[in-house]
Amino acid sequence: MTADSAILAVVPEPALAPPTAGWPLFWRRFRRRPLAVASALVVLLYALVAAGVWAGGSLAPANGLAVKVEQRHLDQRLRPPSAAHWCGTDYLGRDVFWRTVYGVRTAMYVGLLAGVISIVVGVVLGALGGYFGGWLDAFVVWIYSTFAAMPTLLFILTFALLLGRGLTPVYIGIGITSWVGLCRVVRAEFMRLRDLPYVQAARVQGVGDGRLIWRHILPNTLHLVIVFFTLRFSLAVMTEVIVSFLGLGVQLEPSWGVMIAEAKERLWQGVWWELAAATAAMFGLVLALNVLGDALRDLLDPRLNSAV
Amino acid sequence: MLAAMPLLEVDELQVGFPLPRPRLWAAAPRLRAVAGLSLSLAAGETLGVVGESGCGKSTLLRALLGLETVDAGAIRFDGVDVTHARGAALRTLRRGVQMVFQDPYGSLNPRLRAGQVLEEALRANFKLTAAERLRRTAALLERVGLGPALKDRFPHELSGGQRQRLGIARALAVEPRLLLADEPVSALDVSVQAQIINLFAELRRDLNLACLFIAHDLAVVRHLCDRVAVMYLGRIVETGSAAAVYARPLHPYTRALLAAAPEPVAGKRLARAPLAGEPPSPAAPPPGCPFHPRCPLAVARCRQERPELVPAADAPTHHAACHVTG
Repeated sequence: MTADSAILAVVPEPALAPPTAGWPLFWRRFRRRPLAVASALVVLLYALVAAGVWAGGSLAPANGLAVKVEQRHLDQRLRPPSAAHWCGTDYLGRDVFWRTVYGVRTAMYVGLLAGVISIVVGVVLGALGGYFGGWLDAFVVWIYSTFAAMPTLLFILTFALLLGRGLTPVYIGIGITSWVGLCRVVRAEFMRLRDLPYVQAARVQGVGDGRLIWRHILPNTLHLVIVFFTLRFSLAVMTEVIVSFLGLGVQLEPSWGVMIAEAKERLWQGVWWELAAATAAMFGLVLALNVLGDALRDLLDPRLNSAV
Repeated sequence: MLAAMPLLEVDELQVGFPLPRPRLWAAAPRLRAVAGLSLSLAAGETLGVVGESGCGKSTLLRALLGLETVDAGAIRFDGVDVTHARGAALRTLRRGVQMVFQDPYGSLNPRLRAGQVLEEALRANFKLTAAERLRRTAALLERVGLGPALKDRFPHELSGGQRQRLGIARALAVEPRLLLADEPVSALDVSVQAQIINLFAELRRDLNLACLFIAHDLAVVRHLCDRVAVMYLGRIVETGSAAAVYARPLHPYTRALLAAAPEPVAGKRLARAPLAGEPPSPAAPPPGCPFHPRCPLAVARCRQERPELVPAADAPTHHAACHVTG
């Protein structure tokens, strides 16, 4: 043993940097990206507008926004933008600006609900299939292949027949057909991550499957979910446009989809403002969501922020 | 080794992995990572397993924890057959056997603080009040020489040595009777290695833990272990007390390993017998003695007949599998 004591002389380890991690670190880095902050503010603004419209529409129905938006002035049809009507008027003499603002609510509503539905379905199925494998995985693959083969519109039509027209079939239809992409990537990530050393270490310790999935693996797929959500959100907004154009979506409330469909009819007459207002509003929301999703992915992906 | 029932008994264990099929309809051949390995370990005893990388050391440990599927043979822990343990039996096994992982970086979840890592292990195995969990967490950190302030650190805020201490504390949280260590110091700086080895020695002394210690560093094994087993291509080729194996290695492979190890004491050097070539692939092991293609002493018999692990003539606890020297 005397010979060994020579190798085993203990040298103190170097001192460490002060602790910096978790959400405070995330905020500090997030604040350093002006584009990310700007897009987050834009998304927040849309959300506030949606909330405001929702409150203004339901809390004060008598002289609220809903009435204002639907007010028809047939003597003021198809007026170009002016001080009175910032974005002009449509073919029924309704104010295009206020209809665009009101459309935020429809867009946010469909985007959020469709996004949430497809995330829940995609993550749950992907996590179960990827983690447990075997027959469960085969079942998940079979289900998502089946759903991938069925067009979204068919589902929306089916639900419209079952539940009646309106927004409900739109977000349910988009939600239950658009989870396949997320399910695939979550499943692949779970297959890769379930054998990570620290997952195996926790498994050996007797940590249960539920906690392994929830606490050790799922946070590593969060960046996928966030990016997916922003893309689904914009896809849902666009699908709502198509569905409303077909007359299946929103019926009486304004939506960008209805506005674009109507504006298309009169674009050749030089009526550009209705189309411009609706597409600009949609463009702003979709762009901000995509930039935000990108920035969040960079900040949240553990493989991209190794430098600490 | 005589009277008491061994804590861990491994009997002719075989663990393999499927290889790609040579033709579409052919049966998939298997790579035998562990090819008929037997060993036993008494309570409180420390066994060091040494061998080149790829000889099946890690697969052996993973099989002991039920992380690999066993092809043949048996594993008994505390007299209970745990070879194909699942469900409740597997949980019981893992209450008794814990592992310290090789890589202190990859084996800690970057999102869990040090205290949370330990609390998770406690929560998974014991019904404790929150206060009791905190008390035990603090005691575990102290046990492995980490200050109580480190409880709130994330793994990336810990040094390699501190991470490995946390990995050890996590294994101890379950209060195992057998600790497996898969090259627990090979990923660390040399200066830190010494600290961790000293910690293992302390734990072994204080907690009466049985330990299965894998290393390719022979000095580490010699310092820590009562017994040594030398592994080659999925089998044990020599085993005996650490003192005996180091003083008088019987198998030519052990001799080569010892000769290749850097010797920190000047002038104390065995005759050099450098090993030629790579170990053969476990996918296609050579016939006869698996070591014969590289062995300087090989005779005709070595190419045909695989030597059994037999006790040395003058030392009944010192076994070697060699036709020539055994």
